[in-house]
Parts: sequence; C-alpha cells; structure tokens
Amino acid sequence: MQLKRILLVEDNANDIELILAALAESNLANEVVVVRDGEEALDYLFRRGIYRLRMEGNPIAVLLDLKLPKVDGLEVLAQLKSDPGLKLIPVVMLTSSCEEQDLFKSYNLGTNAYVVKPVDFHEFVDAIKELGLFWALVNQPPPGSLPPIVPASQS
Amino acid sequence: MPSPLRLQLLRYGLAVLSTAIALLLTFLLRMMFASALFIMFYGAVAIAARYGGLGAGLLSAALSVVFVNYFFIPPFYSFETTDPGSLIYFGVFMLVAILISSLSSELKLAKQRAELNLLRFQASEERFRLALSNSFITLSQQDQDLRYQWVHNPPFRSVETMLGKTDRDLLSPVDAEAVTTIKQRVLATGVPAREEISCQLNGKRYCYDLIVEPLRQENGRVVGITCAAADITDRKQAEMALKESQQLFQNFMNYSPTTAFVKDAEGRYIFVNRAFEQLLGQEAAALLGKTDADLFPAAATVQWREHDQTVLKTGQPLQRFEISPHSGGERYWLSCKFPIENASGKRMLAGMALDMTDQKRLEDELRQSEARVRRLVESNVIGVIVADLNGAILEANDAFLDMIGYTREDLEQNRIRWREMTPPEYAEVSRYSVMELETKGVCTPFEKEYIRKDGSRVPILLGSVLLDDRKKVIGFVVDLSDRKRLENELAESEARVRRLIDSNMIGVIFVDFNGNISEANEAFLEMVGYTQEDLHTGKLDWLQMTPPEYLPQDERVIAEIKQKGACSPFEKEYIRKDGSRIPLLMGAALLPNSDDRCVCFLVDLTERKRAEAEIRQFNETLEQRVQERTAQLEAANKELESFSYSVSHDLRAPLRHISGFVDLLQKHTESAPLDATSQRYLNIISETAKQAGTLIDNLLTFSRMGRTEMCCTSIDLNLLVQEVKRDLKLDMCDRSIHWQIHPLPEVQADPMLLRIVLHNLLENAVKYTRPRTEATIEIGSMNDDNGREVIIFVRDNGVGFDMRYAHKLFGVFQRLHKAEQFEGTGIGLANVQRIIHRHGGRVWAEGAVEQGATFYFSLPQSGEAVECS
Repeated sequence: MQLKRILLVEDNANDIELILAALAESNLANEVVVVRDGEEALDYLFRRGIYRLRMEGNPIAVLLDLKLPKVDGLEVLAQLKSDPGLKLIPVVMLTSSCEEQDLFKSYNLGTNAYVVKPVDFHEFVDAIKELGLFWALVNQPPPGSLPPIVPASQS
Repeated sequence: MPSPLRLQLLRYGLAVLSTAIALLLTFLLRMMFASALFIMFYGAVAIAARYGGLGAGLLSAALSVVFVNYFFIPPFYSFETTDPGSLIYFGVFMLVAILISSLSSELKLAKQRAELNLLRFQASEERFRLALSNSFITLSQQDQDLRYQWVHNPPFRSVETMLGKTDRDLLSPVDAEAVTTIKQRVLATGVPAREEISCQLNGKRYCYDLIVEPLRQENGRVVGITCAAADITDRKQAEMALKESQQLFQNFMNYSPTTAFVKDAEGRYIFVNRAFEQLLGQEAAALLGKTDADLFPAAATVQWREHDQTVLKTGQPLQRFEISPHSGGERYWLSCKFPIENASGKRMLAGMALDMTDQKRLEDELRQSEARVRRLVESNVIGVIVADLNGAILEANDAFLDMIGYTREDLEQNRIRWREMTPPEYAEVSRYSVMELETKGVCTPFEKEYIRKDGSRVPILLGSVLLDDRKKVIGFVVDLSDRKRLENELAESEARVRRLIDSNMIGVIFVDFNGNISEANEAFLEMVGYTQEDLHTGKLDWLQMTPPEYLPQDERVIAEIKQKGACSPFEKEYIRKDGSRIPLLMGAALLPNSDDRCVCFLVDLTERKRAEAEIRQFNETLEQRVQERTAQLEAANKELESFSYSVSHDLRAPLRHISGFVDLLQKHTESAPLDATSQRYLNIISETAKQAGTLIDNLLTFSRMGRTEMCCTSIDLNLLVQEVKRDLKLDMCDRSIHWQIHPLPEVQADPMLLRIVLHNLLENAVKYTRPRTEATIEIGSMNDDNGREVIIFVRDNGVGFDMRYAHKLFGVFQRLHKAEQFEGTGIGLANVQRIIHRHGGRVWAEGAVEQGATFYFSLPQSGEAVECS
C-alpha cells in the first residue's frame, strides 16, 4: 500500500471530485488519500481498523471537513491534537461554513488553518491549489512525517 | 505722807537704835545682868518688831547677837567664840527674838486691818442709809406672829403706827389675806419668796414687788421674816397701758379687712396682720424677717419695692394700686404705704392694702359688657333698636335699617314704626310680647316678620328687654332670611339624601358605636339578608354581625371617625343572617350634632372580590405561562440557529458543486468548444449559482444581525460617513457624484452595525443615482421637536420610488426594481431597519418616481437607546 502524503477527510463525493480536480492542477492529486467520515479518518491516523496494517508515517497535512458522518470534524481535530504522536500534523479545516462559532471552536482545538470553500469554482481551485502547495511543498513537516514532495520542476 | 524709802529707813533705823540702847544699858548694868546678858536686847527686839515689823525685829536680833558676842562674851572685844555654852545661848536668843518679832508684826497687821474695816463699815452704812431714805423700798422685820418689829420707810404711815401690828390691822381684808398667805408660807417653809402684790392704800391702789426672807436664829429656826417691798405702781401702770395699747393695736389690725404690715428699711417684715397671714396661708412667725422677694415671684415685687423706696425716701404716705400674683390668679390692691419710726427713731415702712380684686373684676366685666354691647350695636351683625311700647322706633343701627329697607333719614323723621311694620297676622304675637315685657322686663325671642319699605317681608328673630325707665325697650333683631333659605336648602338636601337612601343603589344605615342600627334601607337589608321586621325588632346589631377578626379594624375606624368626623372608605365583611359572609366597602361619617351616631354607606363587593380572585389566579398562572412561552421561544431560537447553520453549510454545497462542475465542464470542453448558446447557458448556470450563494450569505448576515450582541459607544458620524464613502469608492470610480455632507452629530450606537446602516444607505444612493449624469447625495441631521432623538437623512436625486410601495422598502427580499435594472438581494434595507430598531430608533423614506429619495433614520439621544445600556 502506497503511502499518500495528504489526508482528505470529506464525505461529499462532489466535493471530493472538485478538490481532487483542483489539486490535480498542482499535480498533487496522487498524493491524496481520501477517507469519507470521521471514524475512518481516526482509524487511518491511529492505524487501526482497516488501516491497522498501513505503513508507518503520518501525512504531512490533513484537509478536514467540518461536517462529517459518525464522528464530526471537530471531534477528529480534538483527538488528533490531543495525541502526542499526531498533534504536530498540520490540519486545515475545509468547510462551507463561515460561522463564527465554528471558526472559534476549530482554532481553539488547535487547527492550523481554516478555509471556507468558496462557491465560485475558480476561487475554490485557487484556494485548494494554494493549500496543497503550501502544506505539501513549502512547509517543512514535523518529524515523523513523510518527507515533503520534491516539486516536479526540480525533479 | 512719808515716802516708802523713808519709812523703811525709819523702821530699820529704829531697830538699830533700840539695839544700841539695849547695848548701852547692858554695858552699864552688865554686872547686874551677868547671868542674863540678853534681857535688854529682848526689849530692843520687841520694840523694833512692834514698830518696824518683822524685818526690823530680825535686824535688831542680829545686831544684838553681834554686840553681845563682841562686848560681853570672852574674849571681850572680839568676835571669836569658842565656848559652846555661849553658842547655845546665842541660839536660844535668836529663836526667842524671831518669835517676838513675828508676834509683834502679826499684832501690828491685825490692828491695821481692824481699823480699815471699821472705816469701810462706816462708809457702807452711810451709803445704805442714804440709799434707802429716798427710795420706794420699804423694809420691815416681822416676828413669828407677823407683827412688825422694825420698819423702814413705811408708805403713808409713821413707823410708830405700824410697830407691833400685823398686816390684817393695816390693810383691807382682801389685800391682807394675800400678803399674809405669802409671808406665812415663808415662815412655814423657810424658803424666800418674791411676788408682786397690790394693795389699796390711802384710797389708791399700789403695786409692790415683795421680797420675803426668813429670819433665822443661830440654830436655824425661823423666828420671823424680813420683807422688802419696792413700790412698782408706776411701772405697772405703764406696763398695763402698753399692754392695752398693744392689744388695741393687735385687735385693730387683726380685725382690719385690709392687710397690714410693717417692714424695716431693708424690706423685711416685722409685723403682719391676720389678713396678711391668711392671704399667704402662713403663720406670722414664718413671714417675719422675710422680704417680698422671699414670698413672691421677683417680677411682682419690683413695683412694690419701688413704692416702698419712694415712701422711705420722701417720708410721705403713698396710695397706689398694686397687683400680687397668687395661685388663684392675680389680686388687685388699693395699697396705702406710709413711713413710721420705731422707738429708736429708725424709719420703717408700714402699709395697708385693701383687696380690690372683686371690685376690679366687676368693673372690668361691666366695662367689657358695655363694650360688647357697644360693639354688637356698631358691628351691625344684628339689628339693634330702641323703641317705645307704643310702636315708635327711636334709635336703630344700620343693620336694622338695611333689614327693613329704610334710611337713617326715615328714622330721624320718625317714619319708622314697628307696629305699622308688623303684618296683621303677627299683631297678636306682638301684643303678647309687649305684655311679657311689661310683666317680666324681658321677652322670650320669637320669630316674626316685618314689612319692608318696599312692601316685601323679612323674617326676623326678635328679642327685647325693657329699659330702666320701663317705657323704652331695647330690641335685638336677627335677619332670618338666610336661615330660612338654609332651612329650605337643608330640607331639600335631606330629601335628596333620602332619595339616595331609598334608591337602594347602595346600602345606607344609621348606627351608633355600640352596635345599634337605628335605620337601614332595603339595599342594606338585602345585602345582609335581614328584613325590615328584623330591624324594627332590634335583631340587627352591626357589632354582632362583624366577624371577630374585623373588630380591631372597626376600633381604628371609630377612633378615626371620632377624630375627623368621618373615615376613609374601608373593606370589611358582615355575617349575613344565613351565616355566610358578604364583603363590603364601607364609608362612615358622624351625623351633625352628634358624637356617636353615624351614617354609613355600604357597597357590595362580592362581584369585585370574585373578579379580583380571578385576576389573582390569572396572575398566578401567568408566570407559568410566560415561562412556557419563553422556553418555546428559546427552543424556536435554537431551531432557527441550527436551521441557519444548516443553511450555511448544506445549501451552499450544492451551489458550489453546480458552479464547480460548470467550470470543470467548461474546462473539459476547451478542446471542442461549445456553441454560443450552450456557452451562455453555462454562464447563466454559473452566475445564478453565485447569486444564490450571495443570497444565502446575506440572509445569514441578516439573521445574525438579530442575534449578535450590541456594544454601544460614542460615534462621530462625520468620520464614519467618510469611511463608508471610502469603502464605496470602487462603485463610483467612473461616476460624477456631488457629495453634500453637513456637519453630523455624535451618536451612541454599535459602530459595526451603524457602519452597515450607513453602508447600505450610501450604497443605495450611489446605486440608484446611476442613471444621473450629475448625481447629488446629501447627508445631514436634524433634531426632533422634543430633543429626544437625532435624525439622520440620506437624500439623493436618483430614480426614487413610488410612495405607494414605501412600506415594502424595508421588507426582506422586497425590491422595487428589477435585478437587471439595479442589482441587489432585497436584504440591505431590511438590515438597516433591523439595526435601527435594535437601537430604539425609527426608519422611514420619502420619495417619488424619478425624483430622488430620502431615507431617514433616528437614534435616541444619549442614554435612551433601548439596548445600548
């Protein structure tokens, strides 16, 4: 099983397709592993359930939807940020809500960024592209993460 | 007289001389006296002592020893003596010599003393004789039978006629008996006596001070008496006279109706009479020595002291009125004060004061009475006339003239006659009154009428008194017109009250404080369930009808009625005949001219009480309902919140997807471009999705607007307008807009929200003036009439609106223009209204189609904002 560098937690298939389309523009689509709900995301991160056999190593970033079936995004964020082995992973909240309380709760739990999904696709693509590039390529991931991706132009 | 020194020299010289002579004689005759050398010398010592005294005797003895020793004791002519026999001899001589000397001197002294006593005795006897011879004192001596043995200085008799006689022989039997009794007593007891006696002598009564002493023998037996009788007749007479005079004075003073007193110059009382004692209620003993200041309040004494001083200074009598304070009130005195001198010539003040209080009071009363009558007449409160019995009115005051409508001129010309003024039907009454006057001197006031000058009648009350001359009458006339009218009014008023009572609109009862109900109307009886019969048989007692817990309240009410005459309405209950209770509202007032009878008005409160109970119950459940409602509202709010939350999440996602996939589609068809129509469709889909997103965003903002907390501060509107204008710059980059911004006030508001308001209004103004080549936007403020709020307006010369739709301007999603014409979601003004309402202000707009629009909003002046606190 190939290890992907970006974990996308998103239940909506349309959104997944659009996000992947956007990331594809930065050639990052292949680096993304998609889980469809909070429980699965936690299983993946904590290597349990169906992911108990996955290779060691943490993603260099997590794109986390707020509203998720079973375990919601805030709960996932909370567990992630309270685990010593995982709390250094940068998390980007990716949501259609710009409600203040969501923002507040997310930052309070230690999210590293909060991005509102714009209705306009162009803007959406730009946002995702920037996110992907920043977290996957620019940011130096914390120890224990997979190494950053070497940009195509440099390879 | 020889000086003492010479006397001494003489005495001692004699001693020396006599001794020398003895020496000489002894010398000459020494042969004869060989055995008794000292014989001569004894004589010398005796002579010396006899004439010179003890000292001289001793000197002589000493010299004798010396001489004998020198001349006659061997060895001769020498003082040496060895012979013991000689020494004894000298010793014996000396002893005998001293003896002789002392005896002689003793003898001499005794003789001298005897001579002196004799002289004294002679002088004393002479004096005694002289003294008694001219005195009033009669001395006598009587024997055991009281016969006169010796009499000295007897009155009116010779000594001879008295000797051997007794008092019984000499005095009247009565006098003799008295005197003899005294003397016999002395004889019997041996105790001296002294008494004053009186006896008739020579036809005149004399007084004697009789001293009787017992005369005793050597063995002490009383053998007679000695009497001394001093004539004290004159003194006695003087004493009697004085006593009589004093008695007279005392009686005079004590029975004097005036107070009388004597004070010394310092104002101390030294005499007060009985009237004075009685006035002060104290014994004279307690008053003497005191001053007025000790006995009366200081203020009262000032005047008296002044009068006293005047009298003492001038020495002239003074008559004044004086006032003295007493517990029973002041007393008035006609006080007469005069100076007197006592025996030692000291000036004192005497005075007598006659109590004039009663006279003065009478005088005052008379004066007041006169003054009252005078005032009565002059005050013209009532008519006063002087008339004769025949019908003429001689005098009248203005009040009377006014009453009957005549003038003073009429009076003076004797045109007023009471008989003519009396209507015929009162003639009889008048005649009776005249008869009563003639018999009793007064007539009982009675009512009648007089015919006035103008023919009308005036009702009067007439009382009259016959004057002293029994021909004239003074009459007092009271105009009864007012009273008659009042009586009529009262009767009318009573009738009205009666109607009120009988109308049975409310309960009316007449009661006293003891529970009795003397009268009650039907309404009351109905309230308490009793009948008129119960009332008349005395079954109604309001105290018994009152439940016990209302009794204290009733006591308070009665106290209030007694104090104020009435009480404020109060609620109570009565127990009805059937035992049930009826709640009442009750008011009560004392009846006129009564202090325990009341009229009470009662209103049945049953209905009101029921209504009150309902309201109370309603109020009790209200709280609960409010809580329920609040809970419901809170739940609704929660739901709304979660709804809008879902909306923001879930409604936006499909739009985003539409927009996203349209975009992806366009990208996907880049290689084989779509035809123009398909392309346009895709654009419309994309635009519409975007628009729907904006709509959702605005709607969320709007809903949030109602929920976010406000934070009010002072805001400078001038600055805020400038900032908003700057934000809008992009929208008007290619526009020509004339801004007319007046100075704006400072307001109290939430800055964020107010910014949204101004943003919306200015944005609208810019938007709707877009068709104008020269747009004008005016911003200004004004105060409302009563200064409670400040009004801001934004005026433009844009497309305006139809006032018929003005009410739709501020509704959510309400738009007066097509989206193609002017973009917008229909949320902006709704937000404006919501924000301004939350600030406690108002919003409104004026405008006309194509003639511009003015939007107004008001904010309460500082401190009055509804939520800004």
